[in-house]
Amino acid sequence: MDKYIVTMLGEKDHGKSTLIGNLLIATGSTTDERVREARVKGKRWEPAYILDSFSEERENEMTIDTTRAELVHKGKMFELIDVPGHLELIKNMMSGASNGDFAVLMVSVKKGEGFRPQTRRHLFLSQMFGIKALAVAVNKMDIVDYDERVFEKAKREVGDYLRSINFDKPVFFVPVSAYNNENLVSNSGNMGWYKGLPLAGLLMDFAKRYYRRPKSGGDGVRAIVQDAVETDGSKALFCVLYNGTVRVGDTVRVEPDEAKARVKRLHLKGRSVRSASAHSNIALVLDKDVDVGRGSMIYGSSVRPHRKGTFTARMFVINGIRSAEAKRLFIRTNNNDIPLKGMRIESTLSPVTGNRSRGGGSIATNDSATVSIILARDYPLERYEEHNELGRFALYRGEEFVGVGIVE
Amino acid sequence: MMRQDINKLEEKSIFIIREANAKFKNLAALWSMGKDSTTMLALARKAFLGKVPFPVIHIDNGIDFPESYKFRDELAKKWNMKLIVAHSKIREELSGFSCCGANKTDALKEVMDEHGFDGLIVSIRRDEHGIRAKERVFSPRNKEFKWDYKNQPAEVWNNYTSKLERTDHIRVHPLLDWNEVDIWNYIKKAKVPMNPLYFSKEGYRYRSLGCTHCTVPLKSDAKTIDDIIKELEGTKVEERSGRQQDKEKAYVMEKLRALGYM
Repeated sequence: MDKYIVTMLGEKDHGKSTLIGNLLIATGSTTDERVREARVKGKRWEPAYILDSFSEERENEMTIDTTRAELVHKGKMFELIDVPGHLELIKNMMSGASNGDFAVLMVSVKKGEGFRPQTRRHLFLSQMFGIKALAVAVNKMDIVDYDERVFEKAKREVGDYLRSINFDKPVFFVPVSAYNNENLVSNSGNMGWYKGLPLAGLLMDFAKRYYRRPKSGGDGVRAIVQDAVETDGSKALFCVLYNGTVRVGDTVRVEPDEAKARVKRLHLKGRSVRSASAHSNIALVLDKDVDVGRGSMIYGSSVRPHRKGTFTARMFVINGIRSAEAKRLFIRTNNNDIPLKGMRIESTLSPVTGNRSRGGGSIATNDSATVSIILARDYPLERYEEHNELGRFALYRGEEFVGVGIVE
Repeated sequence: MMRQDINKLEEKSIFIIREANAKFKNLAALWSMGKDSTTMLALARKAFLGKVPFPVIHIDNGIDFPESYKFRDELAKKWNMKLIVAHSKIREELSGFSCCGANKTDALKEVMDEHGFDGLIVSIRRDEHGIRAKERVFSPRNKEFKWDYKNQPAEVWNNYTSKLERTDHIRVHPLLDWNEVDIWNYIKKAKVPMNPLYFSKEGYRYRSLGCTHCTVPLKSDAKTIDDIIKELEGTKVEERSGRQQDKEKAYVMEKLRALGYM
């Protein structure tokens, strides 16, 4: 069955791990043994310990790295990804959030907590990572006597921000008390004024109404070569088929040279087959020896890649970069590293303040930008909107991960 | 336990195993003759047109079950695998955590050094333990095998880390997304040969296999794969409850991982 990936977003101490812990217990998705194991001697019971299993995490009451927990509810399966809320751990947050189908944002109404900069960054990134729907859990309602006005205020604040970044996904708000297990799986009597679904119900609804597989355009074949291996006198190309259907006898075009060849043999999971369709790992043998290796792209004969060496991207960087240092940067896309030759910063946007500016020589830490990129060698990329998996990349400076981007 | 889509899991694991084989100069895999690492080898054969292209390492402390040795030798021959047996010492004074930690890790270090492996496939799953849920697919280790879990590399979309300057080798985890019940569904579907210790004999079977010193069987009448799947779909008991080393201290896995034990 399909498993829906749900990224849990929000600031530190707003109660994400507590919420997940209680959701797991209330739905029977965790074992008694794990609950027993999480009861730390001499400390107040904290459902978050089910997830925060590093000893440092329990001692300091914070999540260090992304963790995952499976939630099974009424015949559907969700993978909840708990990401750390701390600013310096945004790299771990991105690792966890990049594959999310939906997101749950936790906002605390406790005095001094509220809707803060890191929450804005998380929302901005989740939109960039292409989530399909968002649930905003307004937490710690028990502290404010379940006051509907406090809930409405939080709703307005988050709503205003979402409009300011042109957030275009469906959004639902639910008032909860994660610690007291209210409005998580069933509606709480303390908040009779709330007529919507509890959080778990919202997730069920998302799965039914908004789930989509990765978007890919049309039926043109697009495969990326992972490895080329000599076997029994011929060259077998191990490829990921991202789009289309490939058949024995088809004519294909091989990037970067655009050489044409025919598919002679095709293997899928160890078996010889006549055809294979998208999202499979294939091995193919071509009828002639063309220049092909790891990172080459194989196309249907009638389609061309959208962009080869020059493209525009929207990026988010976790460490500031300057356009003058472009030659030290490389992009990693589907595990292929391609160095940059140059870049021009068209405009920058701060996800926290919403401030935009034109041009400039650098992108500041934790800012977003629209950038024109020139690669040091041709590499085929697609528009992210059309081919999710072929239009996104991670950005590196040497060994250092500096950000992510999607191709416009 | 609920079943996932095993076709999707299978595709992703094949992708990861191929990626590891393409990326590293000198790749090896750990094989304990248990259900997970044997399933991983079956997946590798699917990925590489019927062959396992890398050597498989058994860390042998000499006290594994006789059934396991027999299973190892027969399958290694049948699948034509390059088997490396690394002998680890048994120090009588050590038990549980220290036994597996010190003895097995020392032997693994030696064999990694001797062959210069830069990538090592380890068949762990996220559902085994809270700590394992935090692992990356490609996870760097230093010379002392230390897992720097507070500073893991970014793994955005399916872009895995490369070998970094300060790392000795990268652990590759192709089965992270699988659950115990998925493994059994796959064993059934793909007809993966299996160690007989998993099936009930005289009212007991092993659910998780360590060596003879630290593994205890559980009460079970599950004699077939279908019986096991049915049993797992109804259980609330942790898989590794028969493994002594997990129980000694709350954070023992973290210590094991930090120490570099698999």
